[in-house]
Amino acid sequence: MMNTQSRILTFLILASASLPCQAQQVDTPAQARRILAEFFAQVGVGYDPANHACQLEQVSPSGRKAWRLGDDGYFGASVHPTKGIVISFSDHQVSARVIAGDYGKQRELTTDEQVWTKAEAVLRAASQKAGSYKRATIFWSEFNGPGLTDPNNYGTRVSAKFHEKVEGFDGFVNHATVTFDTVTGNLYLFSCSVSWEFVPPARVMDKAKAVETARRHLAGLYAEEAARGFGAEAAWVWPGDEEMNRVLKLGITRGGNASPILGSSAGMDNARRYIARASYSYSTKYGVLAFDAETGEPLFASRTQRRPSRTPERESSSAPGSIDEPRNPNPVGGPNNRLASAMTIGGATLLGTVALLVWRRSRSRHI
Amino acid sequence: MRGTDFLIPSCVCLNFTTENSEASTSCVGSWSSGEFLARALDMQQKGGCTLFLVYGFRWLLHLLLTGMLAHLALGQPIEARVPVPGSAMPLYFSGTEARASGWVKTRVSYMVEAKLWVGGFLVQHWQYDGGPIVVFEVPLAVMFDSSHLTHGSQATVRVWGRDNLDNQIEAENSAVVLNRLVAYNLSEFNGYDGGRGAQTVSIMMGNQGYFQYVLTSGWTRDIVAEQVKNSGIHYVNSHGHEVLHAHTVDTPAGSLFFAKPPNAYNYESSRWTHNGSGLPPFNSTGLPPVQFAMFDICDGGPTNQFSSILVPYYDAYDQTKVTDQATVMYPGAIFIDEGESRIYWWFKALRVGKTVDVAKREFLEGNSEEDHPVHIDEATNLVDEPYEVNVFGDVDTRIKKVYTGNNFAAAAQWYRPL
Repeated sequence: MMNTQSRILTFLILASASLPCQAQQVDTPAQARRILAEFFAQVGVGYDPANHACQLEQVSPSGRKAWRLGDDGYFGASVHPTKGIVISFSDHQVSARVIAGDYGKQRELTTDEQVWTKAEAVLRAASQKAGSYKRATIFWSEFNGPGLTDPNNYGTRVSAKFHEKVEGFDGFVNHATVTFDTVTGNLYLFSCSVSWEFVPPARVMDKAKAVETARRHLAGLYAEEAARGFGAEAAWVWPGDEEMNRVLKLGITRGGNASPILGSSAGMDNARRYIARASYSYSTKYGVLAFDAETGEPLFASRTQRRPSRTPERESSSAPGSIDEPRNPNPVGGPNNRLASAMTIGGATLLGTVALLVWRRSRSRHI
Repeated sequence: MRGTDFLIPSCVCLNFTTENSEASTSCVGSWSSGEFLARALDMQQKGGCTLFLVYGFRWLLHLLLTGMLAHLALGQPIEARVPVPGSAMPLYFSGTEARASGWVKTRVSYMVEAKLWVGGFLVQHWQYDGGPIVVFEVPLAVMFDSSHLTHGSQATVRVWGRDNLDNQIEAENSAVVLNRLVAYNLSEFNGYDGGRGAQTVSIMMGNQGYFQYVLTSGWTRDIVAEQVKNSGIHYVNSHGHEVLHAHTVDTPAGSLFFAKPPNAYNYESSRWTHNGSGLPPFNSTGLPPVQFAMFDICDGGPTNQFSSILVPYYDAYDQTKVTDQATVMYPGAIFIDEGESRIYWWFKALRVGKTVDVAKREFLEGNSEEDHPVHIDEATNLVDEPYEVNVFGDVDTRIKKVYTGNNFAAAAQWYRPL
């Protein structure tokens, strides 16, 4: 039986052998501009890349490069240098156009299906892998409170997320995010990953073994970090077998942390080679741990910046909201507010009716 | 702001009647002294020595009388002021929308040249174009990025002008330059790879004109309350919540700093205290507001509680909206070992003069697993959608290069004419 390293190596050789039929090497700014011009034409962006700066930039600490265009107040975009596809775009003028006169206008995009269709067209224009990305989530941004984000942005953003899935596993290998301005229907933001490759496990450990592996890793993390203070204790304390069994999920982890965890550099090695692996992950309010579903090696471990609640400070919190209260899922004008409004209106109506009856009775007495 | 343009009025023309009809209707008011002399020499060639002497004598007499009249009746023939009449000198220059102005005016002739300097740099140069339209006063004004000048120094604004009679004048005034970066890192985070957010801000903003006050341990709520008096850039990397952040986790009592009252230690009250009365840059304490704040804490940004650090929100030049001030926060759980990556994305754009709006877009666009990844809530969820990081305040805020109110840089980068 081949070990994991050999299989990964074999996979990479096969994958790289198949690349030339899809890849399009980009060697000059002119080529990058031509690719971007085609993309703009297909998605309805009005800029001419020929009029904007273009240069090859290193975009990652590991040395990956990309052709970078624009960045002059109009737009920013990146073209993959060996695959020849558009991997990112942002229109820096969309908001300005809304401010200039489109604010208050009826929205061009109003339904999820409209957004999905339009976003899929963007994906097709950008990537040969478009067909492998599946619809995942859609989110309409409704920031319109005083002082919130763009003061002229009244719910003018919608983001559609696509995932490249692997059958049998939660999570995804590559992803794409497409955001539109809902007023004009223009593309606002686009980014996609195309480099990650899934190296399937020969065998996935069962849940019982996964729970035991998690116990070992949490103990290690606790021992390593407890000295750092109470926060580390809260993140890596053993939650109990039942809770761990409930929370632990089989999915996919792309690469891993940039530093060795518990003496293993598997995550870092995977990140360098764009390898996604089947993994078990344990995710709580205070930390995330992921380990390889075949080998058990830790891939990712990180603490959040949530303040652990040992709660004697609760008494000092007289500020709005309880300290440990979960964040408001509907910060502005959400269902909770609407419910409150409805209750207020209902109460006022009831009071009004009673007042009217009293008034009519008093009038009738006089008559 | 430009001076009123005038056509030369007839009353300004000084008519000299000579025996030579050619010169009788000449309007010498628009000539320079050199031109006048040249004309006298021309008379000499055409009319002989007597005419030359007569004309030359009248010319000298004219100069003498004009000068005497100007001095006796009008005072100085040319005057200058910093700032322009009707406005006051700021108590300080801070941030990227600092304003400076100067004004020159002539009483007996018209202006041919004026210049304005800020901190020794020439930022405006006006010259008479030689055409039929002349001006008698020249107001010059610029908005500029004060971080181009040295923190703590007295920046001199100087105006200089010259009229067509070669009278020259200059005036100057000065204000202190105040630009600081205040950054705090929870000491517990220092031991993590990627957890040294404050240190990374300090490095990335080195030599950018901001005096740095960076604490990576030992900061207390008294220090935070005191130092928010004058932190142009304010950064906190800590544990947190929608309404508070911590500076220690082991001693909860007294370890928290709140966004707003009623807790005594909060940004809103501290900022009002430090602001005093009035609006920047004329507020009574002479301490500038916070221009850009970034709270690297969990759950800081589902609402705009922490934007209270932007008090008093408005300045003396615009009391309708927040201008050139912004706060950045995350509406979910962020990770300790990604603090440096978050700083990388924001400050690599901000330090070269891009707006907060562009910095956010470039962050969302470029953030990837292979390039300084920043996640929110889950280990697999990259921050790449607009609602996953929130900007409160003015999206056109800059910390370098002059504020323009949009995403485009000004032609001169650090200043622009008003």
